[in-house]
Amino acid sequence: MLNSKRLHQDFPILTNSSQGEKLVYLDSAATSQKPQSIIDAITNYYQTSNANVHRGVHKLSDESTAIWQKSRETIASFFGAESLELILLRNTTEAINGIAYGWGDHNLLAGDIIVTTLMEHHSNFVVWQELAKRTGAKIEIVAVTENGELDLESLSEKLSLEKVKLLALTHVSNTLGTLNPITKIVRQARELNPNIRIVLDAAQSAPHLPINFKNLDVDFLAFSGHKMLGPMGSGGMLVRKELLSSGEMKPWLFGGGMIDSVAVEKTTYSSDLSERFTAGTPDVASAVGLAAACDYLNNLGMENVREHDEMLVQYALKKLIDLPELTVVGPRSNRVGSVAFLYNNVHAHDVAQILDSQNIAVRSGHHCTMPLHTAFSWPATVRASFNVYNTTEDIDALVLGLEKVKEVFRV
Amino acid sequence: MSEDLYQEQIIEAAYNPANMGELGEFDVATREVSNSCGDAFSVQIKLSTDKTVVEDLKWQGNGCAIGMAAMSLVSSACLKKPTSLILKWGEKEMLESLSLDQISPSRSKCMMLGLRTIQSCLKKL
Ligand SMILES: Cc1ncc(COP(=O)(O)O)c(C=O)c1O
Repeated sequence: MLNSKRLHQDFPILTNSSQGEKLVYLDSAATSQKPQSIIDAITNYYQTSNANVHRGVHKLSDESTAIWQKSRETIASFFGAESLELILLRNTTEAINGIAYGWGDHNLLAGDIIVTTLMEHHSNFVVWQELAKRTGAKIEIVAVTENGELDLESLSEKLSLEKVKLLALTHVSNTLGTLNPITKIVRQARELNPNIRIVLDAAQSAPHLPINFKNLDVDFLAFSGHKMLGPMGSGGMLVRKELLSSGEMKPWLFGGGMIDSVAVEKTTYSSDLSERFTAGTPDVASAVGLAAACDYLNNLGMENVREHDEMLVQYALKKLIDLPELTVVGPRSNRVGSVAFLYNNVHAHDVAQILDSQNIAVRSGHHCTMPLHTAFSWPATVRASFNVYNTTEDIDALVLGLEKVKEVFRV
Repeated sequence: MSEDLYQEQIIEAAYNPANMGELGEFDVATREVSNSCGDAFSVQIKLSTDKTVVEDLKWQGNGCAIGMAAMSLVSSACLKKPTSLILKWGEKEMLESLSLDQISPSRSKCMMLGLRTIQSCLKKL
């Protein structure tokens, strides 16, 4: 069990609220807050170790290079992956774009099929639409059931089509909260189609669930470090090493740092896989911060983190479903990270604004899942999302805060 | 405090919006979607014979209270006004019509959606 009240103290933004009023931060699915130890790790890197990596023979460059490599190892092992399988980028979106450019453009032909789902974030949707435009591939979209789960029948149907080359889906929906049965899905996909490649969007699962890249048996896993207590601008992906060493996945950013030798006629790329995909000077400080976040989470224990999230989600569901003026979206169980709802006759932005006036931060809008909102005819939803520092008191504050909406709008 | 946004006048305009509906005959029509929340408005405009003045305007759509109130007020403000004048309006005029001193950048998008829809409609002429 996590002691969230004590953990709270680790997060300066939650304790020194500028308004002098306690901040109830329920928007961690957008980005999490950062503990002091991570802020310190970044500051410390700049104060004592900053230099470019792999570039000089001087001591500081060596030190920075060692820190960079060690950070990469910490992050990769947090995900149960090898360091060479890790490509550090700024976020999930860049990672998915990287898969499209580094893998998609070289491996898809006109008529091939990309299977994705109706519950995807635009990052795991628009990228494939663009790839389809470039290659002539087609997109097939798996339906979502009435209660917000992935429609597994529809999934089987799509996976059984001929020429399916790629399945791209989310581990956890950032709007519905749905946790997809990924083990079962991967097994079925590989049975139906041994050559399929699978992209898992772990943006909303990595902050809350223990993740083992190897056991998940997906080919690509994209994540956002900034949603899992790490610094802004940290994130990336894991790529199964066989895809890297065979050259099936190719570099898509070129320049310094990723080459083996450059001649006027021809350039060869680094055989060191972790170098081949790091073009230009990397953001070492962000990697240091993300590694510190992984250490922080490991210290808490990801099983405890998962349990804490489940407790908060169930508590929020129970409280919010009880309010007659709300319609909670998504399934009632097997969900992670957030609870979103509609407020009868009051627009999501207005609800969020009135909550903000009470120092309660929630997200309102379509949460970058417009196809899902359109399919369900939701104009916009309000989403409360959690992380390790949240307590049931935060959810009580939300419920109380919603009373004010009733007052202002007299609904 | 941000709940000051929700003055009586805004709630009244949002929940009893003026000029909502459809015109039998019109000269131009368009639809605009807000990229931040998916809210959308459509407008139909009927012009004077020399096409310089808005004779009539009706709109439809769904949005937050700020968006609905702003559209309600701006649609009334447009009636019998020269199109050249309407095209010059901006955030300042919208704040004035809602009797607000200021608005956050995110809510400004809500406030401006109605005027933007009307202006992009007039620009099609
Ligand atoms: C499921 C999901 N995928 C992708 C993203 C995109 O993450 P980022 O903005 O860090 O690239 C998000 C973030 O909101 C998300 O929730």
